[in-house]
Amino acid sequence: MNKILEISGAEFSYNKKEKIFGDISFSMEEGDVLCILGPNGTGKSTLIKCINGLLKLDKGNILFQNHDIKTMSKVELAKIMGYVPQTHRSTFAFSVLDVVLLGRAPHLGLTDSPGEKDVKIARKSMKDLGILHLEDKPYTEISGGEVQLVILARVLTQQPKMLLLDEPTSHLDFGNQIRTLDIIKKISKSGLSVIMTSHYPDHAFISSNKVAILNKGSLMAIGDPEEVITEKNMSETYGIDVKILNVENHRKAVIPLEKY
Amino acid sequence: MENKIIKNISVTVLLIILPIIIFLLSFLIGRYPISPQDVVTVILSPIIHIPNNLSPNIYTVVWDIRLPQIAAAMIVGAALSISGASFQGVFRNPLVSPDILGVSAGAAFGAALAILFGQGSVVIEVMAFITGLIAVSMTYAIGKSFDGDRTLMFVLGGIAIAALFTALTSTIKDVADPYNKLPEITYWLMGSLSNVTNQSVMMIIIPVIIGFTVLLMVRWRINILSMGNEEAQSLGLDTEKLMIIVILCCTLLTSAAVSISGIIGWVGLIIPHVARMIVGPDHKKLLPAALSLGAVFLLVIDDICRTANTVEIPLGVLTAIIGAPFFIYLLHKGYEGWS
Repeated sequence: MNKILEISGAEFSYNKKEKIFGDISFSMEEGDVLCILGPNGTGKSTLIKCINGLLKLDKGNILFQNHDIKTMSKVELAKIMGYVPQTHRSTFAFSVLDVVLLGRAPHLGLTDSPGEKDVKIARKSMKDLGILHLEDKPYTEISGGEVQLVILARVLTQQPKMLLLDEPTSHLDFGNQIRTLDIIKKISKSGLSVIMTSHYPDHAFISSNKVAILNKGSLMAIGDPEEVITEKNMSETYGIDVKILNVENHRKAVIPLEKY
Repeated sequence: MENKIIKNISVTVLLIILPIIIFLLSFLIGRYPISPQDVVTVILSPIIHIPNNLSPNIYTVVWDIRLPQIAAAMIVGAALSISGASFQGVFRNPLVSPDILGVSAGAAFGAALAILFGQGSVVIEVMAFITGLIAVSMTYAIGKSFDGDRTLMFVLGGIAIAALFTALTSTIKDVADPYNKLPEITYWLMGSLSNVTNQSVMMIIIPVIIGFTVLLMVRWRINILSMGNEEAQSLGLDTEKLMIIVILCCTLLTSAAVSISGIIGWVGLIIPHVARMIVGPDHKKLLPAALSLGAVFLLVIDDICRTANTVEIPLGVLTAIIGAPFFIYLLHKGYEGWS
């Protein structure tokens, strides 16, 4: 397996005083789905933004296929990484197709606009996600689950090698959460690597082959979901007692326990 | 699908043909009656000579009075509208108009200062243009000096700079001679095209062409910027660079427009909304549509000003008197351009 991402000694602060996180090192291989868990405010989203080059590390390096992302331009980064922020909302009632087409931006010059070839690529990613029927709908009038799929279609239209998904399942109903995780799994099988953040350890069991726990600004554990998501780690991270059960004999689930 | 294509084509054709028709018809309007044949004869005279016995007066009216006023109305309307549409996009705000960064207030100060010192129309124009640019540069410097949400800082900075220049203009009005200079300043501030000459149109032609061309070239990218800075950057867009390009072009256009017409409000705010109702929010279609509709709108309003020639109504006043009810009517018809 080829190493796609390598992070070493990453440290970041917004104001150079209070560290958000520090001393973070890990690596990923092609096709990995890494789920980052951790309490609110521990720097999961910030780490994702650093990997995408939206924020600059104070210390440490991020290498993508052995190239330091600091030396890459925004366009180069956008060609290899697709980023889905936690919330996205458009002020304008663009059609769904117009939103998905924005994914072609890194492949087009400053004065170009998308042509037939780009529309074809956009339509293909919409078809893959089963939302082609939405293409003429105003983006502002579709449901939260559909918005999530539209933005996923947009990053696929970017044709990147890696997806960075910041809480892709938040704002979604129970069914749509699981459907989104299935899609993420399917996408990773096509060779894309995925980093996602989540508040649900179960989601890591469902979709990921690697889990990291970010707690109090440092990496507490990283590895196979079965090794990392333990009763001890969960209670240490979230401050609640949990029981980890086997479901369907091959998958685990985390159940919070009542306090007595 | 087929219906959609037919609708798109007919809208495009209409947006191209309408300005041409209104342009030609506008030559017939004014105090001096000229027949359509005579207008055609005069307009075509540099290309083909049609035998006629028209008086030289007709040539003067068509070439030196009506042509500059018609051209100016179209250029100013188009410039304000395309700037408004671009600014609403990059600032992600439906209340934004082209003077959001203080360009009109700056230009007004420059013009008032030139009038105070008894300067002629050329100096007034140049001063208005330059102080318009200065005001926006100041706003830009303020916005740049803050971290955080720069878009908000630009808008707030613009409000502060506009207030500053408006206060300076008031000071000038206060000291101006109330019998000749004060009325001239007040009249300039209300906006008018009745004194526009071919020379003043030629003076603004270069900034206007630069502004239009560059904005039309980058217009699809305004869609990306309208998604917000972070998302735009993750899509590989150099947001800072595009913002500067758009601000620079809009400032050139608005400053140039205001310098020959005075303050004409409202056009740059509503025409982008009207255009959005017709072609949707995609800036690839929106900017050309705003350009065409802005040109038509201001020309029609100016034609009405010229028709009602016994009492001269300032153009800037009429745009609001006619534009506001029209806009409310359109809103009632249903508007889905914004969320």
